[in-house]
Formats: sequence, structure tokens, C-alpha cells
Amino acid sequence: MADERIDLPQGTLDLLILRTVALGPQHGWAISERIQRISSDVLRVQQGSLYPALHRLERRGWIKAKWGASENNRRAKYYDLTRSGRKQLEAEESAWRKLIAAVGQVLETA
Amino acid sequence: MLSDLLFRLRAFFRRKSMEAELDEELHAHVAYQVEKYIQSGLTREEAARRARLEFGGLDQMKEECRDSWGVTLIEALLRDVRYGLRQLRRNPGFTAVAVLTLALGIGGNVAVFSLLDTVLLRPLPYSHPDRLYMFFPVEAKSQRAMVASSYPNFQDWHEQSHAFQAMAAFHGESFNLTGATEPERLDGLSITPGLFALLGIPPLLGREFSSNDNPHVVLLTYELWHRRFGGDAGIIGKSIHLEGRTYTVLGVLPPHFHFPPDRWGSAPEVLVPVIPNPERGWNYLRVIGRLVPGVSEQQARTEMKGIAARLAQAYPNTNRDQGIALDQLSQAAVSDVRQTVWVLLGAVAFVLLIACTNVANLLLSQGATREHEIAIRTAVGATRSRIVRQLLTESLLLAGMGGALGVALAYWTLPLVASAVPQHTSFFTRVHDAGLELNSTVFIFTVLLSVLSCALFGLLPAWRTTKPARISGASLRTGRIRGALIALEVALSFVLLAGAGLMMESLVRLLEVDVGFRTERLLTMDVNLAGEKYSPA
Repeated sequence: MADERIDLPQGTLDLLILRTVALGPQHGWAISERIQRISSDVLRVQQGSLYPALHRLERRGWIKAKWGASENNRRAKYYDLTRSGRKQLEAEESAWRKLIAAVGQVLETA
Repeated sequence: MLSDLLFRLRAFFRRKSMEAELDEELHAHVAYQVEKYIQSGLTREEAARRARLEFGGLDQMKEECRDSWGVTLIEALLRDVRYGLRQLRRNPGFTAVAVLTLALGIGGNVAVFSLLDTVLLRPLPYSHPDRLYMFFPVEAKSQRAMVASSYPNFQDWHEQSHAFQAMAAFHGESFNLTGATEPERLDGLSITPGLFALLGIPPLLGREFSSNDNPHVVLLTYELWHRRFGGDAGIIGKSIHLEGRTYTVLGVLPPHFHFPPDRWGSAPEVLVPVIPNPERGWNYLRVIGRLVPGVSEQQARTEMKGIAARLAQAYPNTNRDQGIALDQLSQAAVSDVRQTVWVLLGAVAFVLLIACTNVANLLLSQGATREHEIAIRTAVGATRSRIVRQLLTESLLLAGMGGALGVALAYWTLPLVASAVPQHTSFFTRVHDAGLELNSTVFIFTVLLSVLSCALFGLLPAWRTTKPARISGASLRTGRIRGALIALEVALSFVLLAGAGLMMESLVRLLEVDVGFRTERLLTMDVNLAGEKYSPA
């Protein structure tokens, strides 16, 4: 199973984080778990890049952080999408779709 | 953009709470992971071990998070400044000598620049001074420009020119003011109607002359009005006595009215109408004009050339071969001192260059004693550019302190400079009218100058000292560079001394000019006899 896991290509982590928090406020661990689960364990998020990415997105103003109590009464830092973050997500999503469509076309016809 | 800045500021000023939050956030992550493993059947210890292992280096991750806060650059800079200050305090002798040297160099430049600002840069205190021009009749043959023109010529220029929306003429005069208190000799100005409208300065009280006023009316400056008439609000319409005649006061000018700007020390306080002299060959009036907005200087020159040609044809006796030259009032006002100011600035610039070479030399010799420290910092992983940045920060601190002290020096010496300005020059007039001051222009100049001198004296030593692999040959080369710097210093000093020597020599020659009579124990004086009471002998 471990062999099927792939590391994220450069630059896609931001898109995945934005997409994940678009579903509702999440804390860091839940974001990485969710990405892993939804991708059927194929995508694996390195903690080493997850937190710097979260803080960078927060600085950009695309997500905002709030402390809240989690399910098991632990204090956790929840990240939520902002208005400008939603715009950024739309832009990155369409760019990504264009990219894979183009790459797919090249792979099929070339 | 704004949220980015706010985030950075919070990260910078609320560092402690940001750190605590980061720590809590990362620990929470590990705790979640441990729980997940326990649920999947591992023992607590095993779960904790695996979670920690997966998570990797906590400190490294924290460092990466801090990087994404975007404050590392500011912090590094602050660290450099703190470290630099400590370094400078550790060598008080070196610091004092370097700062004093720079302060003398920068201070001299600031003082001379504030003189330049006053004399050349600051606009004249009239409305839209860039559109004010002086007229000079020019002899075509000798190309010699004269100062004054005649009344009929002035009138013809005025009527025929379209490039100028207004023209006025004036000439200096002096008057005996007599009356209730003791008599006083006053500088005065005879002017044609419309001069104040042309300058854009309305009188404070009353009105200026119009063309149907009788010739015995007068305008007073604000200062004279206060000095002699106690600021009497009812002065308009009252009479004063000039040269034994009665003049009616028509108006009072606003405070700090100074005109003309090139009056070489005289300070007109009473203004009377010009008495027209119908003779075309009698040149006694200086002419000023205001250009119509949008008309270029070149167009105006062309038009005046045409007018001069027409007048030459109509009045060959007086106007043959006479052209008309134009000069912006601001240029005309300082034409005799423009060069002097730049020469002065050049001289102090040389002094600053010498100061910079001196400090560069000091820094180089310092570099030898700091080799040890730099070697250690390189060994623990500092890159060359990082160390150069550190050394340049120190240089910038030196330059900043030198600049601050230099401004203080300039502030103290400005009154000396002002009192050293010779009278009867346009220097004196401009300094008297506008005053010497350390304004924002001078301040910006100082900051730029400090940064520039930092680059001048700091770059070479920083580059030399951090040169990798400083084997024995390297210090030999440093010695050669220091030798070159000393040679440069001597050369610069020599240029300055030679310049000063040449000026001294021309002064000595001027003093030695044979005037044709013996000047020892001769004094000159003026005696003013009021015209009415003394008939010409």
C-alpha cells in the first residue's frame, strides 16, 4: 500500500488546503487526514510542509485562524476560508483543471 | 496587502503569543495522531513513539513556520544593528574618531548646501516666480548687456509685446524722511503702476498706484509702517515728508516684502511712482515682465527681437544695434554668485571625500583585528554576504551618527555662515530675505549624503576584510590598498590646497592693483543734502 502513496507536486498543497477548508473550519491535523482519506490514501501531506503552508496562507489573508474547542475538549486552531481565499480557490482550481486537461491531451495524442 | 502587513506586524510585535500558539498547535497535532494510533490498537507508548517519529524535527518545522510569517528579514536587520552598536561601543576610540571625522565632512556639506538651497533652490517669494523675467538691452556689437532701459523704450515694449501679460519698470532711489521724529535716510524704489499685480502681491492696506495718480503718492513697507508710524491703522490718506515734499500715503505692503531680489544690500522701504523721462537715450529703468501662461521663453525672445528691430529702424539715433535679452528673474537675481556657490560646494565635497578615505583606512586597519571574529563566524556557517551585510550595517551606523552630529554642527555654524556673507552681493540679499535654515530639502540631502558616504568608506573595507582564504599574501595586498588610500587622501588635500592657494593669490593681486592714487589713510563717506534746501552750486 505504501508504494501507491505519492508526494504532492509542487504548488498543489495550497490548492488542496483551500479546497478542504472550503467545506468548513478545520484544524491542521484534520486537514491532512481529510486530504489523505478523500484521496483514498494516495496523497500524503507532510507535516513539515503543512504548517508553514497554513501560516503562509493566513498571512496572505486567504484563510483565517481561530482557536476553538475540538470534539474531545482539546483547544485547537481552526482554519476557515476568507472571501479573498474563495476567489483564490476558484482561480487556482480552474488553472489546475486547464493544466490536467492539457497534459491529458498531450499524453493521449502524442 | 493590508492583511499581510497586519499579520507581519502582529508576528513582529506579539512574538511571544505567536510562538506559544505555534507550540500548542504543533503539539495538538501530535496528540491527535497518538489518539488515532491508540484507536487502531497500539499501546500508548508505541503510539507516542510512532507519532513523534513521523512528525520529525519540531524545531526545524517551527523555524519554517516562522519563515512564512515574513519577519526574519526585519529580525536579522535588528540583530545586525544591535550587534553593530555593541561592536562600536567596544571600540570607543575608533568610533569617536570615525564619527567626528564624518561629522566634520558632512556638517560642512550641510552648511554649504543650506546656503545653496537659500540662494539657488528656494523659489522667490512671488506668485509663479518661474514666469517672471528681467529685460536687458544688449549692444549688438559688443554683446554687452546693460541693466537699464529708457521710459519710451519700456512703453514701446509694453505696448507691442503679446508674450508678456504684464510689464513694469522701476529704479532705486533714496529719500530723506522728515517729520515729527528725527530725520532718516531711507532706501526707496520708484515704480510704474501695476508692479504689485504683476508680482501677485496685493498691498496689505490701501491700494497700489494707478496711472492717473499724481506723482506725490507713496507706498510704505510693513516694517517702516511699524517702525516710524507705530502701525497706525488710519495711515492711508495721511501725509509724510520725503525730500522736503509732501507725499500722500496710498498703501502699506505686507510683511517681508522684498524687491528687487538682486538689490545688492539696499532695502527699499518707501515706493513712489516713476517720473517719466521722455528722452529715449536716457536709460534709468529696469524692466520686469510676466510671461503669458503657455508661452515659451523662446517665443518671447523671438518676439522681443522683432520689437527691437522695429525700434532700431524707427529711432536709429538711440536704438541702432540694440537687442533685448531676457533672463528669468530667479536667474538674474543670483547670476553673480551662482558659480561661487557651486565652487564652495565642490570644496566641501572634497573635504567629505577626504574624511571618507580616512574612515575607510581606519576600517581596514580595524579589519585586521577582527579577522579572528570573522573566521569564527564563517566557521559556524555565516555566508560572506551575511558578514558583509553585518559590516555595512556598522558602517551605516557610523554614517548615521556622523550625519546627525554633522547636522548639529551645521546648525551651530549657520549663524556664522550668515554673518560671514559679504554685503552688497546677491548672496547677502537672498540670505537676508529668505534666511538660512535646515529645512526638509536640507534634511533629505543630509540623509542621502550619509548613505552615499557610507557606501564610499564602507564597501571596500567590508569586501577586503571578508575575502576568503586570507593567507599571508592577502594582508600584504591590504597594505597596498591602504597605501593607495593614503595616496588618494594626499592627492585630494593637494587639490583643495592648490585651489585655496589660487584664490588667495587672486585676492592678493586685487589688493595690489595700482588705483593711481595713494589709498592709505583715505576714507570715503556719503553726505546727503535734501534737494529743496540746497540749490545746486
